[in-house]
Amino acid sequence: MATIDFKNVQKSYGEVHAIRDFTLHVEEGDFCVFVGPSGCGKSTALKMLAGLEATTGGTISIGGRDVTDAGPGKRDIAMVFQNYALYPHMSVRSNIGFGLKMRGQDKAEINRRVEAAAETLELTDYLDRRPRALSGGQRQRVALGRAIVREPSAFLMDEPLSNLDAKLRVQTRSEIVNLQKRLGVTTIYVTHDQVEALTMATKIVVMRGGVIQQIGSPETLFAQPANIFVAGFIGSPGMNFFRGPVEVVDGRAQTRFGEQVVPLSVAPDALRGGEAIFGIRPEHLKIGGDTGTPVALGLVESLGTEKILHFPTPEGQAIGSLQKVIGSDDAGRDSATMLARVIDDRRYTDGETVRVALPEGKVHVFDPETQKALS
Amino acid sequence: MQKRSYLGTFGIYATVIFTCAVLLFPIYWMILTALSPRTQLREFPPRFWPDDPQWGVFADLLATQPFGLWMWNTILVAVATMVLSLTVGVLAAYALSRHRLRGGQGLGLFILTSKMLPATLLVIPLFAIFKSLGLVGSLWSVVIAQSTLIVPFATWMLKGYFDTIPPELEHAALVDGCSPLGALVRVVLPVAAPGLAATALYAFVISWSDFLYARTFLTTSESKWTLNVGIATLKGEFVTDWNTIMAASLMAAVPIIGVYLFLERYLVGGLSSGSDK
Amino acid sequence: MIDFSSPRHRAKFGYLLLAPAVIMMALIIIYPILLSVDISLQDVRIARVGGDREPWTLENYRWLTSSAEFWNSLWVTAKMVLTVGGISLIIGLATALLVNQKFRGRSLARLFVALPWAVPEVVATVIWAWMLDSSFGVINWALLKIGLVDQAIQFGSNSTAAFFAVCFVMIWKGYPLVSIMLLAGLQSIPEEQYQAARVDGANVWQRFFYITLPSLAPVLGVTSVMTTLWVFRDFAIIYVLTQGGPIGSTTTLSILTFEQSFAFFRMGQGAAVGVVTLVICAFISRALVGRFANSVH
Ligand SMILES: Nc1ncnc2c1ncn2[C@@H]1O[C@H](COP(=O)(O)OP(=O)(O)O)[C@@H](O)[C@H]1O
Ligand SMILES: [Mg+2]
Repeated sequence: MATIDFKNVQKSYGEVHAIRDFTLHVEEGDFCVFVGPSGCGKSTALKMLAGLEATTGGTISIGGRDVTDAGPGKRDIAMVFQNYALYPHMSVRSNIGFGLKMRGQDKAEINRRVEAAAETLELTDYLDRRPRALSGGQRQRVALGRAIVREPSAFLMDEPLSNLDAKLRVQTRSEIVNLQKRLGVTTIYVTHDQVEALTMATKIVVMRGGVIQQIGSPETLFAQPANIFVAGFIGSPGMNFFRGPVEVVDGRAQTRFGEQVVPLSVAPDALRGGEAIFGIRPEHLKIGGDTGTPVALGLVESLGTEKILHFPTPEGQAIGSLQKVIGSDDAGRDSATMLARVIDDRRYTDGETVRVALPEGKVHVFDPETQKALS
Repeated sequence: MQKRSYLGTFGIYATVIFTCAVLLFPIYWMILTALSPRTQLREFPPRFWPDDPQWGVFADLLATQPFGLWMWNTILVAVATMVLSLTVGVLAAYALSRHRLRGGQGLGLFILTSKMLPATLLVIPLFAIFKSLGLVGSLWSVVIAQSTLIVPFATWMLKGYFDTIPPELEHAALVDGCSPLGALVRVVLPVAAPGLAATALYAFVISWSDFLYARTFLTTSESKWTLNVGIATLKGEFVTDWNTIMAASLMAAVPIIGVYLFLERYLVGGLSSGSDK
Repeated sequence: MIDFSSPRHRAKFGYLLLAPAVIMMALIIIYPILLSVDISLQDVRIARVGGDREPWTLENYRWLTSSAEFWNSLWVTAKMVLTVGGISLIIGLATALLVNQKFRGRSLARLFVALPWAVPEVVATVIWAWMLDSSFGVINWALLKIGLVDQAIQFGSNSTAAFFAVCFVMIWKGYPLVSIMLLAGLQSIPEEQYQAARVDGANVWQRFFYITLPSLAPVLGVTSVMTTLWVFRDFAIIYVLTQGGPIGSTTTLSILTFEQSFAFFRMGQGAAVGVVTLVICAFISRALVGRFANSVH
């Protein structure tokens, strides 16, 4: 168990800056998830922490010890890889025990600990098999076993679930969380899947283009996204955005969504210029009331009682080319379409006109220049 | 897959058997001649079956020629060349495959082109160099000269093979506490075993087959000859002694054919660099 | 002591691994090539390293261009490359297609087909020398028996016969590797392509011309260049079978290089022939290197 600190860590591959100014503090026992779209530098950050890639600048410490130049074997960490990287020429037993053997533990002790780890992961019956003879889920557990048997001060995991099928992924997700809680080992977990991040993490680091966008608990990220990117990335589906005028009436700021006047909880002086970008989560939209803007439903996706309603952003309010909204599940959502998530027993049909209302206090305001949240 | 007709199946077997028969006939003829009494070799029509096999020919060969010594020299040269090229080749191939090294691309290109050097050109400067180093007449001269061809070849083959092994494997080994060399030896090499076997086979076959270098550098003393030099000389000296020459050829061919039969299964895979896995 | 597991020093470890190969290449390939160019520019009989050296001269290259032997060997090499390369490629492809069929005993067939490759060149050559013997050789007997010839062919003294004898041995020895390489190429063509073509109603020949040949084109290119260079390089087969004779009919550039250097001890002239051969080979291998440059990273 140890704290982990990145201080101004940089990484460039020639001209390409993979990581810029990465600064992060992870508490002992934290389950910290790096999340972001593919290619944003998550694996690179993790590999630098593991000592598998050299840093271009900055320092990395584990448990207060500067490990920036220490080899991977000298950092007291264990790692789980996306493709598991099990040693194909060794039995499961040797795979799990390899790290202990390299550290010069005696045979009896290795055996005891390997069997204890196997017990925990229900691998006891497979100890003498080769990885080739195991199912995907079992291989994944061997990879976990290889990590926990060493009782390291940190676990590093790089998309460990993405080679599993959907059902097994959900199940293993909670197994990993429980295991981590029980062992209390500081964990850094990399994923591109924001659902995994929200469900597993105690602390989330959202990254984009090698730059940290926001660090916070799942709740914070959901309720107070720091910028448009985080707002759109977190949540399923991600936040809706629209462009609107900023008007000040009686010292209070307000905007318009179609016909509806939307009061804002932001102090008027924070709003420069006559326009801003606004965000509203699909589950916060009120559908089918008597007030609000009438819209024609484009598409109704029904998941039983839960429904996702698609409708066009009001005339002239689409954020257009300002930025492609990076939805987590649907990369590059059409910015002229908004989504509402409703759970009720009403039937909605394509083409039907309903009223959409934005409740007060649920509207996020972003600076159109910097894309940062205003509050 | 549609089912083949009986005629088609028969056609395939007939063609395969015919091809193999034609290809292997010279080898059969070598064995047959080696075992035939010398007088029979001057009969027309020739006999196609050894009705009176003469096993004594091998003993005669060992008694009248320093044949055992030539065999031993050949083995020494082939093993030394294989070990040297494989060691140097493994290290270089691994570095080229895994490390983004400055100049690595140029070296890769160089390795490819050096496979095309005419050996008869290299033999001249090498002769001059070995002469000044006093290496002419030493088996080492042949080992070194052969490495000019085999090291680039081994490096190229092994790099292709290492490229198919995911780098996470040695990342895992490093995290588990191996040194970089330890990760190579304990994890990468065992996984690359089929590629190593294929490369070793190549190195061994090429080296066992060498005639030019041995003929040029080792001629001075008969006790330093390799099998190929010995056989070529026998052919020149005893023009009619075909059973002795064939017996010598058979003994030179048997070890390398044995190695081939043992390692052939890795050949196709090694050539396509494990891509058909 | 540097800790090579440190991310800071990992690249140094790479260079360290590369060092033996680089040093070795420099000493036993690059230096000798430069030295051979140097030798080719000197009027020397037996080259030495260090000590007195002759002044540089173009004498050897002048000899080369005016020598009938050189032009003859160039012509012989070209003929041999075309004969051996062409035939090896055609029957190599046929054999590869054959052993790529699904039938029982396929792996055994492959084992046998590639076997001649493992037979040392000298051994292969003496076997054929015996089979081609003009008095008691089995091939002459067979040819007489079938009635193809009415007199034993003198492979030793007839120029054309000697040339084809050399080609025979080269094909027998060299074509198995061609078929193995083509087989590897065939196996990397996805089966789905053939299934899709079959669904589209393509017959065997159409599948061969529209799928097999195009997919195999790069491998065919590489293989033909390899075979060409092999014929250029080969020494043992010709030297043991004919020693380049009769009257130069099997003297390739390779044999001429050796003959000048180690039979007549005119290493300057030998080196000149070798350097020219090298230049020709470099031009030919450009095709191969061009194809491979991408895969070398
Ligand atoms: N070895 C490398 N050479 C050059 N660029 C690299 C290398 N490895 C990664 N990158 C670049 O760094 C960025 C981050 O990669 P990575 O950390 O793998 O992203 P991810 O978040 O998907 O794990 C990518 O843009 C990638 O192209
Ligand atoms: Mg990644």
